[in-house]
Amino acid sequence: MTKMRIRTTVLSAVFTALIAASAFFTIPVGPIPIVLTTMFILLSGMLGGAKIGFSAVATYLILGIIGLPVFAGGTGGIAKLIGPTGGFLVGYLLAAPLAGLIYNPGPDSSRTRKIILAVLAALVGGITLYIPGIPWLKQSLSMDWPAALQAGLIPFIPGDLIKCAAAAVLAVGLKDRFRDFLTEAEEE
Amino acid sequence: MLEVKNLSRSYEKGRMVLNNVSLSFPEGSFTIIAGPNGSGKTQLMRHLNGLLKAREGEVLLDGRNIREDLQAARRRIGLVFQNADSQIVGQTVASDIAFGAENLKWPRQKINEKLEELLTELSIGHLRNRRPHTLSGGEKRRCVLAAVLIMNPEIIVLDEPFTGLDYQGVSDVLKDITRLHKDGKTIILITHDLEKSLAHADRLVLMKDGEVVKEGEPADLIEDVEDFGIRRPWGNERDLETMTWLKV
Amino acid sequence: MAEGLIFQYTPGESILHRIDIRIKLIGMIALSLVLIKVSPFRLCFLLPVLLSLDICSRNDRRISLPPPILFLMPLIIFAGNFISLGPWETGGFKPALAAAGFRALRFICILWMAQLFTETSDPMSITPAFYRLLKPIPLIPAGRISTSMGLSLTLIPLIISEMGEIRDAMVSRCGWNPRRPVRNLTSMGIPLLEGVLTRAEALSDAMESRLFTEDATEPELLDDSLRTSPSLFLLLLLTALFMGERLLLNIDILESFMNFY
Repeated sequence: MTKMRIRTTVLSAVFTALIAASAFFTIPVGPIPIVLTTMFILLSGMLGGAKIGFSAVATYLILGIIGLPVFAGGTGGIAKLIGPTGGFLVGYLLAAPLAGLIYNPGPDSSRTRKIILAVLAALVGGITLYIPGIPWLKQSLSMDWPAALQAGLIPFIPGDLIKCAAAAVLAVGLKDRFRDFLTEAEEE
Repeated sequence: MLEVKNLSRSYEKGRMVLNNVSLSFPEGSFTIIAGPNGSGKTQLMRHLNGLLKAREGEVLLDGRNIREDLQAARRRIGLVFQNADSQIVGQTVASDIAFGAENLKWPRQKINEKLEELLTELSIGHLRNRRPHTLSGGEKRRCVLAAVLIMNPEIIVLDEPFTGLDYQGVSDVLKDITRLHKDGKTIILITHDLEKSLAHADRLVLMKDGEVVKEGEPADLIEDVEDFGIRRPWGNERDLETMTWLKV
Repeated sequence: MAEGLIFQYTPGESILHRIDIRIKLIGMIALSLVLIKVSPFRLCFLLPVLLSLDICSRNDRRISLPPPILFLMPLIIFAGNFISLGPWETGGFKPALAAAGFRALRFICILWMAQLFTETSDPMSITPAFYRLLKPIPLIPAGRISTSMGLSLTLIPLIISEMGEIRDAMVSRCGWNPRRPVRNLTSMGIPLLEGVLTRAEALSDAMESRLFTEDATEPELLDDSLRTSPSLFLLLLLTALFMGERLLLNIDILESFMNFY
């Protein structure tokens, strides 16, 4: 078992735990409390890289599918995945690796470059969440498009913008630490 | 016999974490490595079983470089880390203790036998199905000790095992350590808190800024420890034998 | 601690407790798939089954109502469906009411199953069971997935309490400013992620020292768990369901497999 392999497994498990734990936690950010799940989904890809992001989210979904209460609001089970909001869960699986692919600055990148990439990654990741989510919602509740957008997109835009911005700031600030953790393993 | 020869390591910025450290730990010895925070004690420990690769110098087990057979070295040298919470991998006390043995691919029956033996030896049998993170500090510490002992190591390295423990916790852990020493294990105890354990050691190593500044018998060194940033246990006329928290 | 934890394991000796977790998992997934289609027949068929399983699972053989919050979601789904389906689309008030009602009922069924499963399955044996389930499937890294699952299960309660501590520390330093939400999040995220990384470092060191390998001795399963009769029961149940549908409603079996929504 190489050091690298252990470190990727551990880091992916840590992100899974962060994502799952955040479902229990509402944070009074602005006037309304929000759940931070999407922020940690984006961060798992941006800080850990595409591979770790994907496996962290996949493990999270598996925990939920076998019935552990890790989905938003403390629910779980395969029902949630095939239910009306299941599309968003599939979106998680795409958003994390995508954000990780976009935000992958080298150790010598300039700060401006990092910031631009991070903002881009957070926005693209944030939008990706909705791509499978909205049609799925529309289909499963037989809504029309305006109703689906009204129910599944518009109320979440302000909160998601805040979370994306925070994810970008955190990713810029902490990327070096996380990269060191993974590259240090390669040297030994 | 475990030996460290001319071990050095530095950060990229040039600061030395370890500077030409040479030490040897004979079989059955009980060594305390003391030093203030940042003196390189923990980094030294991470070299002992090859978690960090020696860039300069080497670590020898019975005369052979540990990197020749890391697997065997890690089985024979058990490391108990400072933070008990972050070395627990199992979801119950029993499954956490079994983890090391499972990795050695022992058959299930042998694992279970050894597990029972350890649970009785450390008197933690009643905790076997508990979640490790809900245990008290002392119980948690004994659980991680058992997790290392299941691999049957000859040398046991403990990093600050008394941090955050209450009186009962300290004396329970200390009891286990002294018993293991009596059973012939080599003990290396890393601490800056001499009062709780110095009475049991047969050798004291003082470290500062990555260097071994003094080593020898505890009785010879006790008067000098304050020069190197370590607190001398209270009382000038105090006997070495009283420097323990173990109830007599 | 975990405010949202509705479902929790309660130890017991009932039949459901003793069924092999793998069969419970497969059963739950199979029944969820059956319920993808909103069919009155299927709902009427499964509700009594769930009720009897529920009675079996209770140690004191008494029917106790699930927590009231469980009724909140179905209610929302009912209302949402009723409004969006609308009497104007389904051609009348009654059909719309029925359609929305069945959807809500399906949701209750699914929640009920999840509750029965978590209530009777020890979370500590879920991971080993899952490993055994995945292992025969080619191309799936069963060892890595179950290691990763087990580790995250160990870490979740730790991280929840860490999040709580950080939040409390920020509140005590008057750190929350409702007008600067992004700053609130980042100043909470930095200590959390730094802490998590330190934990990851320590954990990888400990695992490496304890010789972590993916092909370790296989985890243990309870030997006295029931296997044969529950799988037969599940098989019979599904056959009866599809046969009944065919005979009563004249739906082709193949078609009923394909029929989603």
